[in-house]
Amino acid sequence: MKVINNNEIVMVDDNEAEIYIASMYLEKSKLKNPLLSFSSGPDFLNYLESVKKGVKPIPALVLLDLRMPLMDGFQVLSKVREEPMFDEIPIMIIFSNSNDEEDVKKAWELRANGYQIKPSGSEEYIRFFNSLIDGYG
Amino acid sequence: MDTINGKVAVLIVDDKPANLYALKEILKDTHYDIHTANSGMEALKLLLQHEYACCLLDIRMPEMDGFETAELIRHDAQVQHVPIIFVTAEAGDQKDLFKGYEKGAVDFLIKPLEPVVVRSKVKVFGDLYLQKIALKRSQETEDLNKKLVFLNQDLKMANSELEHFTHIAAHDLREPLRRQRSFIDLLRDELPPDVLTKVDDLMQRIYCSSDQMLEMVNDFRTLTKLGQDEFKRSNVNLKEIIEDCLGDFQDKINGRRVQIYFDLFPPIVSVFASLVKRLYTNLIANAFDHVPQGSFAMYFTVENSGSSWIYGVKNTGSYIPQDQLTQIFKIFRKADLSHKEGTGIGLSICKKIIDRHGGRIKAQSGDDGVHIQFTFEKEGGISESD
Repeated sequence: MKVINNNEIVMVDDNEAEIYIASMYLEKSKLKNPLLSFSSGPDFLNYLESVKKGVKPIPALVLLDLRMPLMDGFQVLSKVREEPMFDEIPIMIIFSNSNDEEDVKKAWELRANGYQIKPSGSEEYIRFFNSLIDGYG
Repeated sequence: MDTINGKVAVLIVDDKPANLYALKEILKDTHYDIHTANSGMEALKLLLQHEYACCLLDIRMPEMDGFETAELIRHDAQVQHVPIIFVTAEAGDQKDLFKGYEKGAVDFLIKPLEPVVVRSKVKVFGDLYLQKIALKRSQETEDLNKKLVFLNQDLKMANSELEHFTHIAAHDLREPLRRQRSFIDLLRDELPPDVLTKVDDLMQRIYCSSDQMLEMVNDFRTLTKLGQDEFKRSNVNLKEIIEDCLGDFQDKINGRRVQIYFDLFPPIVSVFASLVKRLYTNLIANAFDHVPQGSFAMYFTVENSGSSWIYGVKNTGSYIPQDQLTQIFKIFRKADLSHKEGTGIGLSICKKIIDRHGGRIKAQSGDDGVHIQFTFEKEGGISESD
């Protein structure tokens, strides 16, 4: 898993505090990508329509929260993968606190590019973002 | 109507005391309870009060004769099934005078009475009665069992709902806590060094406090997870598991100069390995939490007890008051042993792990320290999920 260009990193999470924390740590990390956030799956899918039309750039990476109202992360993921053009968007499923075997399996089946348990605290967070530069997995 | 404390009762009806006496004499060596009535009316009264294996009914009686009495018996829903043995002076066409055969057994005894015949006829009905009672009892037991199974299912469902709720609650509680830790870190980063030195102690305390809460919530999650059926037994070397656990405490062990001793462990035991690792981790942590300071000794004990092994963790340097020895395994205990470290859920998790293995856990405390012991079946016990 690696961020390959400086396009936006997209974060989809219904919790505003979560997005705030991620944006703070992203700034402190070595990544230079701006953060673009959406508070729901439908909002993000709506944005992808503009990407499809070529109005917006393809995200460098999508961090997709699993547990959200309206549409959960899996539903959003499978919807994105329906569009051949979005086949290559790197999408990471973000688990709130457990990497339940079933969830991990489902993430792979739906062609996620990775999964991550939400980091807690400075060290974990920055390590996570930096790992996206060095690439792993 | 009452059954006469397990004893079979027989009713004799005759207007002549001499005849009653004679029948009583004939039946006195049987183990039946003999009741007597000297008229049809009295017989009916007794029949309503007691349950009889059979009723020996004299045909020739004044006022209400045997047949009339029998008619009345056969018309009363409560007593109509009692078997009737008519006692008659002569053999003959009297059988035809009684029509109520279909409602219950009817038999005849012809005078002069032959004791062997009387006894054997009464015995037939006595045995029948006992069989009927036994059948009724077993049906009642079966009904009760069915009811119990239902109630048990309800209880299990309620319990699993409660565990599910706790699991979700613990899950949701964890999230804001995790965010709080990030906020504390972020705040610390923002503070200029001179301010940070002033408030650092405070920041540490906030951090520790949220850390403790997070640990507690995690323990709750573990506790609720234990009820779920996702574990399998495997054959493991328990000593290796314990050494593995001790590895996580290496710094503390060195720092506190803890001496570790092992009894001779059996090579293999069948357990839920991940749970047992948790069990030993908690017990080791518990020892550290309860020995206030300084060096102490920790013993990993094993005793052979027939079909099971009694394992244990013993530490010197701490003491549990006698009245709290069973309390310590409860989640929400009143007598709080610890203003010390640890969430206090650790030992309840141990209890639940041992429950899960079908074993028992207990704590002992004396001058030489605290010994917590638990059993594992040698043959792997009965796995609930099987």
